[in-house]
Amino acid sequence: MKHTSLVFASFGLLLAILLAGWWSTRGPEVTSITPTISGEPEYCISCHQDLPEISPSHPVEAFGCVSCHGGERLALDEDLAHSSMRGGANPSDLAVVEQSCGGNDCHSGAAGDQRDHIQRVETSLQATYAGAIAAMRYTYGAQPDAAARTGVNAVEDPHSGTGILRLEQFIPAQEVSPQLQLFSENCLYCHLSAKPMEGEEYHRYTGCSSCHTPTAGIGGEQVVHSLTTAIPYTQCNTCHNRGNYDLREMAFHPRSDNPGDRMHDYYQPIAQYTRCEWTLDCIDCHTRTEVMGDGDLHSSQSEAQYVQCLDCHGTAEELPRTYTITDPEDIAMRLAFFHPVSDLKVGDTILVTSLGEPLWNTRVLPDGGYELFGKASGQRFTFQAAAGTSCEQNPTEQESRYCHECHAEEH
Amino acid sequence: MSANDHRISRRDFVAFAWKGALALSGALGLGGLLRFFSHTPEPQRKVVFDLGPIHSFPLEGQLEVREAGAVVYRVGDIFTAISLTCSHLGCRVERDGETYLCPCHGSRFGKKGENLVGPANTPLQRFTVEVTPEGRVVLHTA
Repeated sequence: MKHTSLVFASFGLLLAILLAGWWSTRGPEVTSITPTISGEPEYCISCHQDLPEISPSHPVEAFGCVSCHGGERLALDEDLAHSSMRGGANPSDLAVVEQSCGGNDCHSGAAGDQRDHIQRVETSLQATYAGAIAAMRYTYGAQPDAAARTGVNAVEDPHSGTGILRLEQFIPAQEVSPQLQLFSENCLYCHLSAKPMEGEEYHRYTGCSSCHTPTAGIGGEQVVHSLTTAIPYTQCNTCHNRGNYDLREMAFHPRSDNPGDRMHDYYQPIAQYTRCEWTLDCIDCHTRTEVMGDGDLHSSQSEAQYVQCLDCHGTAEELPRTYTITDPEDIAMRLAFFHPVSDLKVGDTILVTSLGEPLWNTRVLPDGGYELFGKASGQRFTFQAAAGTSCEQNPTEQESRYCHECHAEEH
Repeated sequence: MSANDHRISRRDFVAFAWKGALALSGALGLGGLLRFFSHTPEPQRKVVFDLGPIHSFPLEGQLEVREAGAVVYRVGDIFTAISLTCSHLGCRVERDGETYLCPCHGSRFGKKGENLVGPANTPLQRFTVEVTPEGRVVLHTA
């Protein structure tokens, strides 16, 4: 019996050693990088060699992978390597964005240093959805007025310029009205924390990547490892212009048209628009403050959205506001660096909005005209001011809707 | 002597087999142990660069040492070196006319590595350049 046990033990030991040897040869060949930002080697590229560089401003030699994604930098086993990743495959999700995009003092910090991107986004309407929620709660008697009280996530704004110091989290289960329950089930697909509806036309990621990772027209199966500031209108249209909400049914009805040209692809067929509105991309007019937030909590899109035709074209009586760049560290110069569509230089005169936001993709021409470069397309457009033309606009009616009375085109 | 005398018995075969298995296990185990102890860690980053004899450097000139991520200047008998790693987040800066520009976030530095435009708010790191008694120029990046 002892002899038999020894025989089995010997062969068992040999088998175990052979298995261990075979197991150790599995797995990828180690490829190590030592990013400058951390100074610590990472083995992520051993498996992810095919991933493209995410953006010119985030080269892997400087940033590596772990500074954004988290994870176990030296693990070669898939489950172990991914076990401590932030936000799964998307570290820009708002639940983890402060540790990822905000890490290393990158996109989080003081407004004075232009470092408060995350703080502005977290209080923006695209993140809080506070306007829609407030309107619904007011309509169905859950609050006495339309001022925002709740948002998708609870957020504070101690230095608020609007008087709204905080939003509580909107919790549908605590709402009395059944319409608000339906609202939460059918109408909360388009804020920055929401996973979009099924369908290629809705496909986008969450958090910062909702806008900055171009996914429009790409199926959900394909991973997109890209960050861009050249955001085309098609990315905005993964949420915007997708259809209409029916408040009686409290349901969303997707648009049913099949657009054959850009104008109809841009907007669903419910209104008329001026040519620039369906020639330029959304970000060519809508500023950082409008889209990413101004750092304050708002109750309505109408409070946050302020750019008008006159910001570029002036009025019948006044030229548009401009200023001349004198500082190489001017925010306009920095923004132009990240969007290399124009050769903006110190000494150039550009347009500026009523709130002082530089329209860095514009420039006053020597002949008094103006030029604009599409931020996503790079296309150059020239245009004139309204002053000195046959514009008959009432001086007291300068909002864009009045410009549409003459300039909107019907297709 | 009959033919049966040359045949190995079942007992002897089994004994040979399990002893062989043990021996093979021992050899494989020893091989694994030697492989474990012979593992060489990541090679240390090179921090000393021999740039050649001093006479190969023009009296007023510069040399970019890509391997070291540095540029070496000579003015007369004075050698200076600055890092080409941006002091902001570590990208490699590129020569742009008389200045160095970081392609990642736009920081700009002068010829001596001084800050000209942010977001970097510290100059490029300075390295030591030594001229050995044998007349060789040696760059130290540590």
